Amino acid sequence: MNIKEFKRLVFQNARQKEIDNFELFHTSSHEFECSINKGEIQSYKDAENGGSSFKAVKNGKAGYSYTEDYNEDEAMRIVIDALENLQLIDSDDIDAISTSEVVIKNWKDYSMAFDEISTNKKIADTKLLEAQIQKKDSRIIMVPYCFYNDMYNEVFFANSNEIEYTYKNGGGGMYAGAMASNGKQNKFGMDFDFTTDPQKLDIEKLANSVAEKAVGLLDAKSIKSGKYQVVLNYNVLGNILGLLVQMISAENVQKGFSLLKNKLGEKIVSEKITILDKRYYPDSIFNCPADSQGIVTTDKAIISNGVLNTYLHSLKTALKDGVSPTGNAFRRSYKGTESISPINIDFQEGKANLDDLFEHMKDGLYITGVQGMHSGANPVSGEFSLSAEGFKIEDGKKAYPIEQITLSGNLLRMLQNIQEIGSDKQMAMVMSHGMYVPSVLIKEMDIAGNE
Amino acid sequence: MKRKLIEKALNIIQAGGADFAELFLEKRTGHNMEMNNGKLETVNSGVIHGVGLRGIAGKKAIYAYTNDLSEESVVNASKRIAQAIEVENNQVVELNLIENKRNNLNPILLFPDQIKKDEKYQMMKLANEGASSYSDQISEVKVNYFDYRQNILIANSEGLLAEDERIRTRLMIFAVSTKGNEKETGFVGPGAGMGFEFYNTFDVKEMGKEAARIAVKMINAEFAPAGMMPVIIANKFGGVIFHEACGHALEATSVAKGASVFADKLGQQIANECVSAVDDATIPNGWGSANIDDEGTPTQKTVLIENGILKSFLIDKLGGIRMNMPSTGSSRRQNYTYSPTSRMSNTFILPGEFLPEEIIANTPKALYAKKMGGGSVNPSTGEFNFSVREGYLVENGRITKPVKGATLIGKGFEILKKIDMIGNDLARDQGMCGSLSGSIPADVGQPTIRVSELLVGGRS
Repeated sequence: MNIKEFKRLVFQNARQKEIDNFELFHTSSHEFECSINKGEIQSYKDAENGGSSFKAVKNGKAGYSYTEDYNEDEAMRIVIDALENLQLIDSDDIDAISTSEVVIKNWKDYSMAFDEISTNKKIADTKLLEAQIQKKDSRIIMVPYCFYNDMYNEVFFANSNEIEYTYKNGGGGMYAGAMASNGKQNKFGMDFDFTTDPQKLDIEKLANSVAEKAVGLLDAKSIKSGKYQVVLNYNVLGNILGLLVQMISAENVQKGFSLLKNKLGEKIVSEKITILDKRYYPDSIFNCPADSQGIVTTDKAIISNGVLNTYLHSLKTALKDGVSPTGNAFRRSYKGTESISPINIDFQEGKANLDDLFEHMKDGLYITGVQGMHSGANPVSGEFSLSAEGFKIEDGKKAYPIEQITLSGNLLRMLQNIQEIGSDKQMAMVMSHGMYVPSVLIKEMDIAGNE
Repeated sequence: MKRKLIEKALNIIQAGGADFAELFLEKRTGHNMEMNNGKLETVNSGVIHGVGLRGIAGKKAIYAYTNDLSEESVVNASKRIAQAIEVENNQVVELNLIENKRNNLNPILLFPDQIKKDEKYQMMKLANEGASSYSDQISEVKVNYFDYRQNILIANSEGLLAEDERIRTRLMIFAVSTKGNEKETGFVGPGAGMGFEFYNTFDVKEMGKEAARIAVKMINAEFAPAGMMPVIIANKFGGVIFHEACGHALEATSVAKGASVFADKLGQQIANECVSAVDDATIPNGWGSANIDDEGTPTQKTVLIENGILKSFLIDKLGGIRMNMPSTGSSRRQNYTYSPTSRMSNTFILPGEFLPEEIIANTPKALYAKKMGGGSVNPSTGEFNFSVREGYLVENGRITKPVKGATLIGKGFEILKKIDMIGNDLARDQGMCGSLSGSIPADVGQPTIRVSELLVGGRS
């Protein structure tokens, strides 16, 4: 049974069960992945799947049910199940389905360019990446991770207000991690390159970066605990901004899980900071023309010169606040319900290159990696304490690598203390949305070390 | 799925040159509910149903999955694997699938899908009540409930045909405390490989209070100090330290490549003599338990470390081929969309001789980590990090004031040697573990332990 036929049956059943408003969210996706270890294929995955979620809304209450089986029984079961689920809801918040027509303008679907590349070429490129990394430096003893990955996702959305659309997004890329050793200490470095256009994958550049990251940290030592000036590289800042992403969700604000409640229009961070959310960012694999609720996506400034302009809204949170939805309600999978997320965070870059930032800092730390975001950072309190590594900067120059330190602070205070913003905006490795950020110089942060 | 189609798929993969062909069929019905401040806000339920196919040729593994279970689609996926293997002239062995039955180690009394949704709702209400009534400082309470029933069938070219049913249920209570402009949080998340009878084994309302107690304790705490110091880690979720600092580096995933700090240490002293640790997927109704692993191998209790000596790794079939060692029944995956690999199940340090209060009384100055948060590790360097959810200072053998915001960092091979006292109060707790084959339920556990020296990342 194809999806259009399944939809017709589900909608017919929903009307028969006297549900006022309903929608069907369907995705089908394809994923390819291979990894190489010591010149041989380590793993290889070539797969597809799809599924649908039915959302029923009655008297402002919503219930959900999903399936991966497309047959007549399931077309009835998900309707009954969703109806039963919504009858349990006792929240006072009103949910709804989209009523405004979705016109997708100025939009080009993902070109499926990665599907044009032969599997043999992908495997050969992955082998080449591993070999290139290996030969960059004799201290690289192994490349434990070397992956090629591409995927696309086709979304089909239809609701009882006759809104119906499909779009396709996706892309691919490569990532690798290398292990370097000086005989006493092992160091690990990793990097990635993800894009919508396989022609833009630069194996040589990626290999250089992975190798440098691993080798550069050899002979690292810890430092004394204390307060330091720091330069956070783009990837580290991108990771820590994960806390901000949760704080600007209107759902978290309304439920009391965000420090940004009642802060609209107020200056919340340094006036040097402007952060946008963009529906389209060049080469981003997260671009999309509409969210998972039938709301067209838009470009918006979340923070302008330090002032909080907007939260990110779903239909439900927008109804509660009496504002328009912002097109930020996404379903990562038909198995889940909507959650609020940006599309592509674009942190406006400054003028200083990395060397300028070191020069302006004079003495301090350059943090190139943090670990522990999922446990050591609390989006409700904004407090974080993360394992970190990087370099000691003395007299404006890299002095030596550092390890076994922690970087601690509060997100909003840290963003208040930004002294200067770098010009090196790049994609940070964040898995759920685009995150384009530069490196930044921060006045003071807490560091613990064991020297 | 018809037996004929299972055999056909395995034959196609073998004919393509695989030494080993495998099929993993999964159907899972799940149910999730979310309550905010006592009001039920989201209810979602549904079914996933798909098949994962794998061919292993030499040390190479090829995986494909689909949830279109028609003959055409399954045959196509099998053919894609055969093509990708690129080995010629392999003989196809006649398949003789023999059903492999194991006694059920995880009996279920009340199947969650037969419990009225309203009963689940009432139970969540109790949890909410316990947390929200605990203190005026509790400003928000979120309660999540989920259960699922997973039915799997595994068949392979060695003739194995095995089935298993896994039922899991979990309650997660998240409390927020507020004081002025500051917020802190508390969390508990009990779960089990049990049916709804799990909620007869503890007082749900008391569990709500526990989440609130942590949130209130921490909003009134100062920041933890920074620097090297002794650390006493309490039982239950404290075991996350062994899970991260050592467990992951014992998985074949990193050992087989030589990318683990413990890869060449079998039979050697890697921990202080007082440390013994096991991985045991056979604990009845454990959160990480199963009758068979996700390759159909019966699960077992594996001694990982005995008196400080490394005894075994955690091995799946492919890891076993690469390491030339037998499987320890440790192959796991999130669902049919993941190729399985070696993972932990219920992993914990065994009890020692000390009373927990004895350990504290014998320590002049330390950080006491009563509740741990999560953590992570890089198995190739051994570098780990953990957050402390509820911490205290120990001064002159006494627990004094609460401290917040502490992170513990170090290197796995160093901390194992620095564990110098082990309590007699072994207990386990539940977590979700993420790695190459996805996110899976795993128990961590330990008695109270003392680490002679660890870097505490607090505020200076």
